[in-house]
Amino acid sequence: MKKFIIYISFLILFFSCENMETVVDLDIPETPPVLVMNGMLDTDTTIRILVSHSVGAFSNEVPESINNAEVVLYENDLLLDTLDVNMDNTTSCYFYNGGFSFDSIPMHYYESNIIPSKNTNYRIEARHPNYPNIYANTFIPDDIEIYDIDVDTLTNDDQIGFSFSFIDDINSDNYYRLKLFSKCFKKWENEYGEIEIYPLTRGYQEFASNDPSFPTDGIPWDGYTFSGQQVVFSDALFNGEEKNIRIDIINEGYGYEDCDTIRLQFSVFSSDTYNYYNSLGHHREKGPVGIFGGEVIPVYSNVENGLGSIISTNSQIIQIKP
Amino acid sequence: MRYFLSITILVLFNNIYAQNYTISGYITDESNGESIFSANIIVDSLRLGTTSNNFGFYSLTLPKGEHKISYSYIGYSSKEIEINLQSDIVKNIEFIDSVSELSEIKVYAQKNIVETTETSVIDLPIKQVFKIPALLGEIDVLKAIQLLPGVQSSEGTSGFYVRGGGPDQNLILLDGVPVYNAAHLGGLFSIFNPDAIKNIRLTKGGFPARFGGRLSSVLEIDMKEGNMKKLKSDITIGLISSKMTIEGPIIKDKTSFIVSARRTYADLLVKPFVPENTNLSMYFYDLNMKINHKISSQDRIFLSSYIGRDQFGVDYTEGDRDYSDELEFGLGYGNITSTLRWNHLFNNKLFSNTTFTYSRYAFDTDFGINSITNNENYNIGFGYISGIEDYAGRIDFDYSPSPIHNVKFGFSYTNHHFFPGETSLSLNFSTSDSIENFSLDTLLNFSENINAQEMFLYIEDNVKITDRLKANVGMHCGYYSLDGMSIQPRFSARYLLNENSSLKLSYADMKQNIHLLSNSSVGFPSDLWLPAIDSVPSQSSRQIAASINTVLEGFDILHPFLNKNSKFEFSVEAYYKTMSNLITYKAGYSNLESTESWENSIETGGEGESYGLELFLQKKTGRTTGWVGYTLSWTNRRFDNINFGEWYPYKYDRRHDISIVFSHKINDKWDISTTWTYGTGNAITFPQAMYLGQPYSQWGNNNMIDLVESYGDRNSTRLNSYHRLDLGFTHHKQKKHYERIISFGAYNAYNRKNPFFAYLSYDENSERVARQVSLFPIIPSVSLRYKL
Repeated sequence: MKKFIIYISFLILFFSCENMETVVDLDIPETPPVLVMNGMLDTDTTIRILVSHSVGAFSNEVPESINNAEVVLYENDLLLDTLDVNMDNTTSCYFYNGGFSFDSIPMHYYESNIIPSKNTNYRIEARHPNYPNIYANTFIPDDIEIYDIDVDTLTNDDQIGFSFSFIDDINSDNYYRLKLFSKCFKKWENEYGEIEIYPLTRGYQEFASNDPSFPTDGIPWDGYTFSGQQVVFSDALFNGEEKNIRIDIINEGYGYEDCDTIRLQFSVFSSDTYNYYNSLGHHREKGPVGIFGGEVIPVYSNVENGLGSIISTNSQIIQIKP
Repeated sequence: MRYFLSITILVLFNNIYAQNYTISGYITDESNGESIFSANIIVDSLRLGTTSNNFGFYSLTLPKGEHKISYSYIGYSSKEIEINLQSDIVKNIEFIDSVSELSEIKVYAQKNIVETTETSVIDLPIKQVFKIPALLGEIDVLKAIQLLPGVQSSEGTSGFYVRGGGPDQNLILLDGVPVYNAAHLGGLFSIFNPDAIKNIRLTKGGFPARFGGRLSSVLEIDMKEGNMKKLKSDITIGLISSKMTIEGPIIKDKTSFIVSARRTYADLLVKPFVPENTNLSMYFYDLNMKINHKISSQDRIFLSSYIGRDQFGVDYTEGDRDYSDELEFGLGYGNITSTLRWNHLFNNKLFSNTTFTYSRYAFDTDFGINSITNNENYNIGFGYISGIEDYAGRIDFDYSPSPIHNVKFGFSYTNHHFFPGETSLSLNFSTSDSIENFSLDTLLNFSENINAQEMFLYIEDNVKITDRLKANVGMHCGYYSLDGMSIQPRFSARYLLNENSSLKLSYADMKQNIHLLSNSSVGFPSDLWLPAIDSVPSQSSRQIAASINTVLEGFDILHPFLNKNSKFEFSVEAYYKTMSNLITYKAGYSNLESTESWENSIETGGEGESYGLELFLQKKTGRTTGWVGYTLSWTNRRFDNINFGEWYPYKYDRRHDISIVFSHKINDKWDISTTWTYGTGNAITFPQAMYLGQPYSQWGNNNMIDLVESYGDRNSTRLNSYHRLDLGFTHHKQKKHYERIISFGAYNAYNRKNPFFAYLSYDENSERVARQVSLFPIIPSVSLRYKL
């Protein structure tokens, strides 16, 4: 009896110490592969669309470019063009492979010679015999006139103030994006009296603001409710009104003085594009949410019967420096 | 409203001048003087009856003449008296514990389920709770509740979900005081020490008018009053905690007390494995106290209190003669509740109970760094506290004006003080080299503290309409200072099909003025209790339920496990519930990471629906006791900004839920018990496909592209099903001065790897796989209990 108890106790102890993280099969609804369509319609460039296909969540297959689909473009519901795949120009798109490196996928764009127009609805349809037909709609808003542009380099040594104004269109829900680019070069004397040089760099420039329309993380940091390299916001707080925006460009690292060029891209777009950028930003920020986190934020897709996003923008560049 | 009042007055005073007299009194346990709640008092010849209230008081108005009255209660020998009622009389009844629970008591002891008008109510005998095998041997009231039909739960948590409602929609009353967080150790155990508990009753629907403030359930837990006859003690030594209960008379048959304390010692057990420079504290404790005093035959007072707290802390130090660094982290939470009750008997028809309560739940965490060098000293401290504090008073009347009416009415007032998030920050820096010493001590409030008042008036009449038809009709009129008035009608009715079967129907309109914001399944103590405000209105629900209830007998086939006279209560109940103005966190929001105010973090205006069928077969007496419960249910939610405004399954949408609880007394020394539970896997949002996103430029014009996961509809994936077998053996040995009880058990006896949560990952071959984390493997337990 004693031996039996010891044996049972050993077995119990063995099972108790077992790792409780296991690989399992889950009851996941079957999702057959669908066509995926991505592209951004911009009033400055011709239309280019990528078409690929989805794979299962547990598949080791990497989605590939589909080069034999039929892609057609409609403008305000009228057939405008058929997009042709450009096989002469292969674009390598890099993606994180889930391990410790990046892989690349050769992609071919479906192209049109048409430059999209402002204040216009576009629909793109894609058909392929192996997949259900898909389509997506997007709208390019009208131009926004900006005025009262001001660059303030005097008030504060640590940052450069930049402000401008525009009038929001009362007849539509509008969404905006500000994105700051720079080209900088820096040299300075270190504590040993040596001159150190940072190479020429092109990239995004950090800025900060207390504008109530900008998203915020709650706690003001360094006196600002928002800081980042780009901001996407809506007209919910100023619908149909004049809007004045002030941003401060942080003068650290590659500061204002060290940059040859600083440009602000100001874009206006419709709700589809806003939903895409907004969800993508939140999805990247939150990531796959764990047990202590909230629900995951899916990336917005406006492609019916498929996946991906056809978005559009009407952008203008404000040259802050030179 | 005027029509309702007229009807009420008519009903109340109907028959008042007929030749009726009232028999009333208290029903108590003969061995310890504890009052007995919900005992049946039945006059079979007239098909009249009542039940004792929470304080053991009963009042039954009968026509003048001779009557045979039966008194019964589960687990006690029933009593019958014959009286010739020529005037109002007082008859106190003392019940004797039935002989070792082996005898099957008379059938009407089990007729409660058939006779009463209440629907969706389950009384859980505390003796049965003690028999259920428990995790680490810690007998747990809420874990027992989770085994009832219509109640869903999650692995390792004390939270429960009734008929598709959230955990905040359960009104948990400890001696009449709301308890806001009933969990210890993040939900592994509940705060209720079973040694101090007398009654457990769960109401899932058909809420009588006296209840309000929550949508989904009322769980009433009454503490023992203390032995009026003699001093008793009970000591249990378990694997992770020990507890002790002492109760006895201060003045025999007049004043008694009970004190019950429990503390875990997990920190003491792990102390040898903790590095020398680290102090670890990890424990919970709770303390239940109660005094009751009979002032006179008309007046009695009760004073009870509960204090419980969980504490986790780490204190790490390092340094040498030149410097010293200390890092401190602390996390604590706990409840304090107090109740003062005064029972007053105006006459043998009118009983009142006046209650004053205090309840506080607070969660706090602090983090600090102290650093000392030869010439500098700085410390940084960060503290966070959130919680809720209530002061309340209520008065309840119980009036039996005639043989066919039992009226309850009353008034309640509660002052809530919400403090959803207060952060303190302190900085101190001092140095011998400079005069630039500074210090900062400030308070940051991300969400304002809010005071809110709730009041309600209620009236309900349990009226016998015909010999077969009885109804409970009531009205609950609420007022909330941040919202206004609400009228909530309540109705339930019972129709007797025959002596052993009845049909029941109920409707309840409920409103809830507080919300719980929770975004983890762990029952984390940082979940926030919040008031309904203009932008986040009160939740409300409507529920309709219908049931068939019967007493079954004659199960010869199950002999020798069951006596051939064994009786079972059996019910089949269908329900449909709608909920509105629900809230939830915005997608991606985590209250552990964000500092946004709660108003900006939530989705409001949510809708919910839940419907299903519950089967319940229960045996309460005899050598073999237990139940089998089965629930078939659907629970869905809809928010404008979630799942693109489409309905989606609630996380705890369980298609099938089965629980089997079985206890058998083998002989005077050995008991065996087992439970088996099964539940459909929780609904989760999980990747269903991958696709290429928009290309973008990075790192010098390299084209990047994201592999984006497509999640499909919210909660469209199911975790694997949950099932678990628990086993327990108990050995009793009666010594000269005490009884020794040794309990052995195994939780999750066949070591099922039940899902706790799942995530997408890569295996050793770099293939994408779903991984599941499970909490508890097979866990053996042993505990030693002495009853003196």
